[in-house]
Amino acid sequence: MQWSPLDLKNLAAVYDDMADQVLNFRVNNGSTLSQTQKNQLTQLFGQLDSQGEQLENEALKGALVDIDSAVVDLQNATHDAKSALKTITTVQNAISIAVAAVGLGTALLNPTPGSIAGSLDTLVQAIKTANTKPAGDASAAAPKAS
Amino acid sequence: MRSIVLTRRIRHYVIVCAAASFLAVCGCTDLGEVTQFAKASQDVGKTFSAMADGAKTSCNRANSFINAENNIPPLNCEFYDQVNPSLLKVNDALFNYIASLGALAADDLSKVPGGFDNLSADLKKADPNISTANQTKATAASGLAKAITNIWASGYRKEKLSKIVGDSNNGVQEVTAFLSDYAADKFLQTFNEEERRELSYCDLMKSPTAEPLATDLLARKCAADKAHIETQKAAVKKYQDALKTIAESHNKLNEQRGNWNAAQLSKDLIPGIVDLGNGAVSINSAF
Repeated sequence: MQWSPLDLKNLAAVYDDMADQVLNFRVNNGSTLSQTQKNQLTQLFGQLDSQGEQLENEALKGALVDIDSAVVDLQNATHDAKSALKTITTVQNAISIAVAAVGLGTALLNPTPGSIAGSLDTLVQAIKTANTKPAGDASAAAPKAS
Repeated sequence: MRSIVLTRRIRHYVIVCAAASFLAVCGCTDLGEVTQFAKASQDVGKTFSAMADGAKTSCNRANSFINAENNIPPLNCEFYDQVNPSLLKVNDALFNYIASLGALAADDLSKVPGGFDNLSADLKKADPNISTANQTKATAASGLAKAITNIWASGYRKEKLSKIVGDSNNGVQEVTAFLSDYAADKFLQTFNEEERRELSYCDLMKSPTAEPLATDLLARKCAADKAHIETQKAAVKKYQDALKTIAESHNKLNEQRGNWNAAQLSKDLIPGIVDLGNGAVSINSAF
């Protein structure tokens, strides 16, 4: 029979409860127990505790395998959100270039000293800005430095 | 005649400026709460690594209580070396996703390079003789372009966010449930094991024949350790509560897709944002 992660987790909880019960019995009845009985109860407590741990570990390993596709879905969604943000930046940069180009056009039609060179510089700056790294890259949930 | 042309120009600039202001106002999104929610969630996400390290430390400490009197099998602490990298990956996938939602929902596009704001000043710098009227025209034109871009970005953001939230809701529910029910529960189990193994040790090491001061010191040490472990367990439970808040908040976002508005988002998300902030503080102080 194949145990599911949930079955294993529930079993682990049962073993942990039994370990607690055995330990509490030993602590609460310490004055009336012989040394041999105490040793036996200590060993029993340790075995139940360890078995609970092993079952919980198996449950976690199984659940990790099961969750893999959901993790991939979230990673894809993160990629989609970042792409959308990049699109916003790209469109804004394109409009910025268009506005600067309009400025250049005006300067060409109404030339005054320095206006063409200046407007051209504005256009060049807008294109340079458009080529810089898009802002808003979501930073990762960086692990806390311990 | 000159007066009529001037009046017409002024009216034209007033209309352009008013339109720009109107468009800028209409361009505001209702997603500020989503950004706040994402920021508060990040603080919780960053605590996971410290909790995972704390659980391994707890496991090693639990094994330190094994001696001739407390003769019990050791816990498998190497398990954490095997599993923690995968758990961190799952935690990062969830919180990176939430962070990307927050970035996409952000109202503030000021960090997005645009160059609109400098256009008028640049023109003046390029041509010191530029007329005030032409400078005003440039300012109005760049303001209008910025407003139009923001309106487009606002609609586009909402549309994309709506789709991403809808597509990911099942994944968010599954991953938050996994992190709470399996990963955090495993940490809790280890803290419980440390607590019971120390209780067993403290109980076995006290002796009616031992020196009273030593017995008293042992009891005090055991009580202090128990209190510390309880604090760590409470912090893990705060993390589980935070995951529940994230799952519920994301579910509300999903249920109201297409009908998001500032008032409803505020009502639905603000209580959770406060809880997430408090939870992160509690977890940070325990680890």
